Amino acid sequence: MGVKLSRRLSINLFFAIGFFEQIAQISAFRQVFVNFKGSELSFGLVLGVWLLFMGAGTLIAPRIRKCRLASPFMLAGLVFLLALSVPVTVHLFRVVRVLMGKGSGEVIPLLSLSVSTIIILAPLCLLLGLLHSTSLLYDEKKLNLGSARAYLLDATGSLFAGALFSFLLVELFNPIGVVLLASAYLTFSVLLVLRKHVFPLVIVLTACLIVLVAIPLSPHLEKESQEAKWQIFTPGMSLVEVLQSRYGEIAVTKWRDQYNFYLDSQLQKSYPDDYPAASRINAALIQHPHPRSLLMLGGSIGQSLNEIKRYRLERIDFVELDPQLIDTVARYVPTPEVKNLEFHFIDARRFVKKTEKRYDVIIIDMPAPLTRNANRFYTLEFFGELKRILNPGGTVALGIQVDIDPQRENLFLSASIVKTLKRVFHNVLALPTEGFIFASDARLVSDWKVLYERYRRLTEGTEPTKFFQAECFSLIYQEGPVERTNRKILAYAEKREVRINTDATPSTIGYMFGVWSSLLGEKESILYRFIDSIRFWHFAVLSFLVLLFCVGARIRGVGRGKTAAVYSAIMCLGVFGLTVEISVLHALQSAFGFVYLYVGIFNAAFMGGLALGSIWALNHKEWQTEGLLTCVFVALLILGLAAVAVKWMAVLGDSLLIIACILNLTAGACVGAAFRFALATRKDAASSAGRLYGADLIGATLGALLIGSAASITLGLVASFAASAIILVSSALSLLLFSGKPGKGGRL
Amino acid sequence: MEKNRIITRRDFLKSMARYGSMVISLPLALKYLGLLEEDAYAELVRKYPIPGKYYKRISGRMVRCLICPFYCLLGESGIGQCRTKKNYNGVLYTHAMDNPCIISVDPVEKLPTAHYLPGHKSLTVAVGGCNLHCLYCQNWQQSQERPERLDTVRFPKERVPGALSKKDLKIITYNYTEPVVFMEYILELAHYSRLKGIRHAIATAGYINKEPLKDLIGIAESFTITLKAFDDTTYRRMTAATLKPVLDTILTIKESGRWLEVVNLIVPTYNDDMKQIREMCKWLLKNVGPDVPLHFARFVPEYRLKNLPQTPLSTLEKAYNIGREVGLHYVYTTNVSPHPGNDTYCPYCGTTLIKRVGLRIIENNLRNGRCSKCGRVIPGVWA
Ligand code: SF4
Repeated sequence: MGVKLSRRLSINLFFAIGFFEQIAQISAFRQVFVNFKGSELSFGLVLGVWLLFMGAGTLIAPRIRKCRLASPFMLAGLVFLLALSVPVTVHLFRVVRVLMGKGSGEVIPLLSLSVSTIIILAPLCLLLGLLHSTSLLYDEKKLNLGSARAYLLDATGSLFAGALFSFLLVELFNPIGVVLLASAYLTFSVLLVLRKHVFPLVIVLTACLIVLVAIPLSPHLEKESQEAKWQIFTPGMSLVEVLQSRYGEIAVTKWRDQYNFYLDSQLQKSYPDDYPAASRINAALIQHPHPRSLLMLGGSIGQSLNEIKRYRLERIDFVELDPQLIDTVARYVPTPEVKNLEFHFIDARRFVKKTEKRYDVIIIDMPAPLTRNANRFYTLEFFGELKRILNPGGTVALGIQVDIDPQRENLFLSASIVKTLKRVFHNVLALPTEGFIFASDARLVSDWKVLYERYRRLTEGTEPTKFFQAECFSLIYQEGPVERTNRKILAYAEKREVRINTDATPSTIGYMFGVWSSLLGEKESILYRFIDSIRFWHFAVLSFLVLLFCVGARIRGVGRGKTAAVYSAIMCLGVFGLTVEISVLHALQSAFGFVYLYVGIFNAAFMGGLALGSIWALNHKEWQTEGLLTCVFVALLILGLAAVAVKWMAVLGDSLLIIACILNLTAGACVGAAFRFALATRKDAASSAGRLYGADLIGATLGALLIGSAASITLGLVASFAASAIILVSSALSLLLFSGKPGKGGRL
Repeated sequence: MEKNRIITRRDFLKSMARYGSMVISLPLALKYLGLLEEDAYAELVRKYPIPGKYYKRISGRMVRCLICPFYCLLGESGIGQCRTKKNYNGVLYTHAMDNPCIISVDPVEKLPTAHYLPGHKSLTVAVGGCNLHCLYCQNWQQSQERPERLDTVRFPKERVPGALSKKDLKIITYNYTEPVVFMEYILELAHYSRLKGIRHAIATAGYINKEPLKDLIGIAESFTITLKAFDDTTYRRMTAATLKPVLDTILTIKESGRWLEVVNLIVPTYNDDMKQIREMCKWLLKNVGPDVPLHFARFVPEYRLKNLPQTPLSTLEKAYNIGREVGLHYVYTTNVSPHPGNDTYCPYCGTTLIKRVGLRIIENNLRNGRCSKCGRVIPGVWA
């Protein structure tokens, strides 16, 4: 009975560790994502740091054990620290800008942001790595569950946590509440396992009690944490409310009589004096000589609707993903009754794809294409979809700041969008004053006098609003800037080096990233320049270096050659694993947006695959180098399939989500099995395990940072898979050439 | 054994070669990646020595620029804060010459100005660079970059008459970036076009020393000075400059008799304290009189303050009312239109003299610079 109970408790322990790890990761991830303005760059950074420091923690743990620190004590101490450090980490991410000495509303430099992310995340990951190892050591001594099973349980816990977080916890609890709940579960699970060790038990019990007391206080703690964040972010302004929606964090601040709305800490709108909305809506609607139907993808309510009302449209569809955003704004901004207006709370891209309606004017008011999620509304594929739902002579008004500023990235960004639009529409007109690019097959007008007359005709008999008059067109369509801008952008759009923006190869993200970097000054743009300089052939060189390393080792001896081949195979598979994991996330962001919500699930699929692969390989130990070689070939196959899936993502539709899970699972299995096979090739399995793990970690970190974060943005996804494949090819060659005769086991 | 190991010459050379090559290849790799970017543009750029009176040789090849209160001390190849001046062999050169990044035809109201030739169009010229580093700069892509790195046009003084006559213009305005840092170019253009009756108007932050300012006063007819705040700490925080020199500039221009208008951009939480705004208005009233127009401009989220909300209209209106209460005759709201604060009113009879929507004049009730109703003189440059 006692044995059975112990077993159950230890099963629960590993499940709880996986659960806790996943919640900690998603929570940290969400905060970093917000700090990075939703840039997918954060995927690679978080996963890279996570792996590196967790790995370091895993490697340190056995050494600490040698210094006579009994495992129960270590386990208890680690759980104590972790239970309390995760909420602190969440808070630190919120208030980190205080260390950077930035003023009210000031943008944080990218480099400082990356460094601070690493500094905040590193201790947590290190502790998690230590916990991982310590629990395995404890298992080895007392519980006897076996490391393979422990890994599987860990992965199951992660998967469960990922699903629970995405579908339930995010809506029910505040971020600090969620991590406290996970901490409570972890401490409780460890408490049960350590019930026979008095002092460790006291340590964990203390942590458990602190967490349990903190849970009911979590709304208050969350409020305090948010207040601190916003006091640092916009000192002096009062924070009215913060809401966690499925799609991000909505914050409302007040300054004097003005309400300001932030989504993921990015300013969206200010009310009540919404002059910008008034002139934007008129600038866009007036491009059509007789607008009857309007589709708004994103944008604001309030003043926009007051202006729209004057045009007496027959049908207005307003598409917004997050109903909570509209609800929140509507609580502070008087929203007029508009006849024929219908709200659709759905992803705008999905709406465009599915709708059978046709429109005269489509206004797109989405965030700038700094992320794949936003970039979906600036691609060739999307413009094609828009054209399908336009009436003949209809106009698209794409909201984006148009810069002909003499710096390369600004100009290239605008030129790239114009070039992409020109592939679909006959006429394109950029309006720098309001930040619009119009596209239509009909003629577009830039003469303000014509528009002035058109406006008077269309709005005849209605009362002008306080925020707009017909004369404002002279300001909006200023002759000089409009003419100068269009001349320059069109000239640049002709250039070969200005790339078309597509779902799979989002050129504008790179340019946008450049704009962001140049905004922060010369010193701060180092990171951008580094990322921008990455080319495909760099990976070919890297692959060649791997091969060279193995050849060099082989020259120094047969044994060394074999060892080098095995280690480089593990490193290359590490690169492969993280390339698949992160690039698939990028692809899903491009296809669906907001996939970061499910990052936990994909991560858990990978971890689950890792455990399954490892268990399977344990039963086929005799395969050794052939097994390893097989894994490399399977990995190449997976990369090929991933590239095909990405290329055809528009056709695959929702099934891409399932494909993504399968790709992650198989990639994880491949890496897990390879590790076991590599270990089996070593005589000194115990000491090799650490080194092999190190090689895997180096590869994974390289994969996360170099390919997952950098190359996938600058080169595109298919090229990223190809880059990973080219590295794998050299490891396959090394294995074939130097790993001993197949059939004899190839033990080194 | 290991302890007694002696490093042979061969070992030493081997490790020297190994580590040496690593050390050498690192900067090469970094350079390739653009992380150690040399001054790649230096050789491509045209450089012009600036007049000797604008800088001082300190010792050896060290020079001190005397144009603005930063007094940059530049060693060999040193570049000034404004990114336009560079020390080559102990001689101070400017890179901001004949290479504007913006040439456009704009209404003069864009400076902004309300009493200087309303309704006229001008040729606006701007060269990259700025000695201030305002967190909210709307033209940061040009102002916070070295002029030679921008996409520019070659526009030497000889091209000016042609460009103006093509569009039938008589005015050149210097706006968007900071004219102080390309003043040598302005002086060249002005001296060349003086005989042709061309007029010059400058919009500047006024962070300039007295001597160079006098040279600008010598050629320009109108100045629009942006007074960024009315306390030194805020000034430094927002712009990296200081308050006192700007106030001195305002006084010098006023004394010179050139037309002067003042702009104050109200940035929420930075410089929107009403007490401070009142103090500023009182200072202006006392030192430059009630007839110098004061524009309160609305801040819009830009550059590094992208996440700071726009100025509430109520703040702008409060500031406007304070200006009027204090006794300033001509107070305006800018960057917000349509708004009654865009219009010019007669301070004596209250008649709307010039009705504007943004930069456009809808109605002009001035008759030869006088109120059409009460006949009083309205100060300004009207023709
Ligand atoms: S003009 Fe430029 S170089 Fe001269 S002192 Fe001012 S900032 Fe320095």
